[in-house]
Amino acid sequence: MRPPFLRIRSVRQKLFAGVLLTSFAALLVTGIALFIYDVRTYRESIARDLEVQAELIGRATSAALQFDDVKFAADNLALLSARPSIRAAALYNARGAIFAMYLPAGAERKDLPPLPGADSMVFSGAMITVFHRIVENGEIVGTVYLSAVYDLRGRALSYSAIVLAVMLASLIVALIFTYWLQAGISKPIIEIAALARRTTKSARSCSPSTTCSRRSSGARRSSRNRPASSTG
Amino acid sequence: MALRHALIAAFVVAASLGSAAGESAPAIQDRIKAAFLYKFAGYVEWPREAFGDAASPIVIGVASAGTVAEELEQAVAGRHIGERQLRVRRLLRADMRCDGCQILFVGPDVEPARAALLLENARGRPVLTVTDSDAEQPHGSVIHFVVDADRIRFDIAREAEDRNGLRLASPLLAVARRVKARTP
Repeated sequence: MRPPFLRIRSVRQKLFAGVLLTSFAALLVTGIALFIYDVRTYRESIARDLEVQAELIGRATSAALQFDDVKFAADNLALLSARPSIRAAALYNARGAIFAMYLPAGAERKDLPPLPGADSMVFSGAMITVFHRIVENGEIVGTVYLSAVYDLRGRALSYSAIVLAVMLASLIVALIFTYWLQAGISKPIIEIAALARRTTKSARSCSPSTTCSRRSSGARRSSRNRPASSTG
Repeated sequence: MALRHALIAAFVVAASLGSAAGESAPAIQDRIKAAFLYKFAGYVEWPREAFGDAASPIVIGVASAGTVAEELEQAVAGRHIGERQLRVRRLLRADMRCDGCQILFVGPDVEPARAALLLENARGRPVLTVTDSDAEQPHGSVIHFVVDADRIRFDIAREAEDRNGLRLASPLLAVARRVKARTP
């Protein structure tokens, strides 16, 4: 059994269906490719972004760690409130004790590791954590800890919604263009088909004894050669 | 014999713990000041003429009878700032200047007249002068230690910094308790 669109008999509708199906297939493949690319780059970009953030905090607070200025360090960490994705941050001194911390609403001190780790980046469920050592003149003066949301599911959902919306808009545009262009393509075919129908009809109306017998044989040939499907 | 060794070990451990726990506040402060002194070097840009060559060490002259010099000698052992080694030079009571020093520390126990002379002799030369006293920051001192809420902090005088041809990095200025601006 053929799919519904193949059972369409009209050339105009077939053209419509063909263009839309081709556009949809192209958009779907492009959308899937973009989705996969985005998911992959999202992970890399969020990791790089957090690493840069940790590096910046390290540079900004290096002097505070070396000269024991807790307030300056805490003020610097407090700037992270501009980034809601950061769920906890801490600075550890060279002895491994917590020197300053940033805990937004909902976060608690127990969310912070009691001791700093080596330079690392860990993805765990919907979270990403970073340890970044602060080195000055070859000496570790402290460690930055950052914990941020890694919402891959939310990102995938919103990206899917965008891709679907773009596909829908593209299909609508394709539909309008098809409607506009198909007039130039199908109109001559429709006119030929109409002429053929008229010819067939007039041939049938002639009796064999009349003078239109030669024309009717031609019309019969034309009728035999006519395609099975309707063209109108 | 084993018991004797165990007793000696226990005594050594107890003595070391006792000395750490019973360390006086001035001794701890001297240790912190010593740490600050060599760390300052990482935030100062000296003019080229301050050093003999690219491999010349950064010399920290210490004019103080306190434990800062001793703490500093221990702290700088094996440390470098960039490519330069750190060295400590203890100044004698008769020394009124510190030729070849890049940092000069004048402790609180130095007589005011000698302290003033040491600072005066460093004036206009590429020397980071660091002072420590209960009084106001003396004239010619670039960095002055203060105790603020039981913490060692420091003030910076930018005019003295300019006069000695030094450039202090902004992170150091940011963590200073007070930065005395240049007079127009």
